[in-house]
Amino acid sequence: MTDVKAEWPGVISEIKVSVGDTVTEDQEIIILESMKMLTPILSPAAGTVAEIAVEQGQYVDEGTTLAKLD
Amino acid sequence: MVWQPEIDELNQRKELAYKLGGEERVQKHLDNGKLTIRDRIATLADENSFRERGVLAGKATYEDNELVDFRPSNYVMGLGKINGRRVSIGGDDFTVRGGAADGAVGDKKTHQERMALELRIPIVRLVDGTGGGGSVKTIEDIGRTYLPGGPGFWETANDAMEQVPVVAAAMGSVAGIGAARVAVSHFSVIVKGTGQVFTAGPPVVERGLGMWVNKEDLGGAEIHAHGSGVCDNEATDELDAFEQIRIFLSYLPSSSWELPPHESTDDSPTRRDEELLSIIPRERRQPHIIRKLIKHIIDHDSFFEIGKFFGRSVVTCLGRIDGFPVAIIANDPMVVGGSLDTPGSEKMLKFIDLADTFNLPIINLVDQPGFMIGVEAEKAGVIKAGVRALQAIYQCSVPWATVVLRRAYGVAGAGHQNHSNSRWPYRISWPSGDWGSLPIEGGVMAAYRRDIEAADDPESYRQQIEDKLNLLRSPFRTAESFNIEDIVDPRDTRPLLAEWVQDAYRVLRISTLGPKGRGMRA
Repeated sequence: MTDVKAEWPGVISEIKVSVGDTVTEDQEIIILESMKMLTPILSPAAGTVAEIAVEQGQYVDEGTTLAKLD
Repeated sequence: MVWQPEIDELNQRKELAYKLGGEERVQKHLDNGKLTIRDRIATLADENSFRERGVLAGKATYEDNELVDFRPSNYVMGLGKINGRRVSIGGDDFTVRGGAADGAVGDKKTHQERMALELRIPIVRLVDGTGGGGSVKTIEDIGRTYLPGGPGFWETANDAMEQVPVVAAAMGSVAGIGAARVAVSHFSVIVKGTGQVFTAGPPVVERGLGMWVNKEDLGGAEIHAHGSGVCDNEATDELDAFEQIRIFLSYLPSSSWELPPHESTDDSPTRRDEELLSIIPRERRQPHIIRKLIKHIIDHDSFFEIGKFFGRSVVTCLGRIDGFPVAIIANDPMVVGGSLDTPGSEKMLKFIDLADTFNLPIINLVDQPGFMIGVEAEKAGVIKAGVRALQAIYQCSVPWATVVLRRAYGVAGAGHQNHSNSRWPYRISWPSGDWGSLPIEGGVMAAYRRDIEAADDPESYRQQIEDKLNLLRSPFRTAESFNIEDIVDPRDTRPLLAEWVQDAYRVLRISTLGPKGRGMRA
């Protein structure tokens, strides 16, 4: 299980994958808007999306788990 | 043939020294995936260029005045060449007393540094040893404890930091003064898997804190090349570490009294890459890929990044334009929107000092939304780290070129160059230039709060003000008042900088070079 975490605070702008999706390493998982920049959060490894832990529009702190990969 | 017996003895003694800590210990060292210190030096330096100093130093055992055993000093050093240029190279021999200082004979480490200072050549430290006092076994040997000092090292270390390039590689478990010798450098690299750096290793941590941690989790590449900033770069193996050292030194002069070496290139200075015209998205909130952008501007194959995984909102790299080495600073919008945070500021400060110390012209590619904001950033002391970076900008005296790619906001954005009347930094902007004290989006609420709150429809009134101000946002309006000196076609950036770099090097050639007087901290 790999956690995809927010490395800095911001607002979830877009969730680009769904539970069950297969993702490749460096694939865009979530777009986090921070410092007025739409920053893609990339998958740290290849795998399957096991859980999406946030919702669009939600504020997240640094270190928040955004998704889990199997 | 008068002195033949002595020559025979000399050779015999050298052979004994070449055995390092003995077959068993050497084999164990090799089994751990590490090269011996002699192979490390031979691999790093140009072929047959190493001239060792102090090969005869060691602890000898005699029987009836006959040499029967010899344990060489565990620091091997001398002069060598890298890419045809003279350097001093030294490294710990881990196979003798784990590279610890109690296995040293004579102060070969300080000797190497003094030699490098006298000859004004780089210092390469291949560190694979522990503390300066060695182990506590020293106490038993000398029959007393001792007050730690180490004056020799710090005296030369400080001089070296302002006079000659200092490069350090962490090639084993490195603690105490060994760790300090890695950290007090211009460029440090840690070998992934076999290199660890810590103030004290796992047994000391367990005793002092009651916490057991393995050495990799305590001070491996993941810790020090991906977060702490103690090591600038990580290397996949020892050969990669040597390659990075060679590349780093290829951009630097041998000392602060000289200019960085020009290298011929077949890359045209007037190359205009079409991609640059579309590389910045029109949508302000969309990031771009800064490393790709940099490579469109500098000479092919001349990109050497320092500190890639630390302070990631700032990219610092060495490169060449028309063969001339330059130091490039850029903001990475992919990381905290490119804002200047505490680690980014620390990285920028050291990089500017490095460039200033070694006469490298600086190019700043600006897409800077300002200092990082928020609780965590404040806790990390962003404004203190930030002003230190700005002080470095105002202290540095090498030629400076600013290219505003997009945003330049706030105090951090203002710090894109030294604005003193005594300086003339070259500055151009791309048509995507977007600047101010505060961005319009957030600034409207701060500046017009009363009016907005008093309006019948506050939200639409806020939008009205924003729309009105956005009409004034064109960088051409700023250029009308000469507040930005020139807006250029992004494709012209390389040709323009290639002309600037010629000016920069001409000015440096007729300047008095040498240490800058401000010193340089690691």
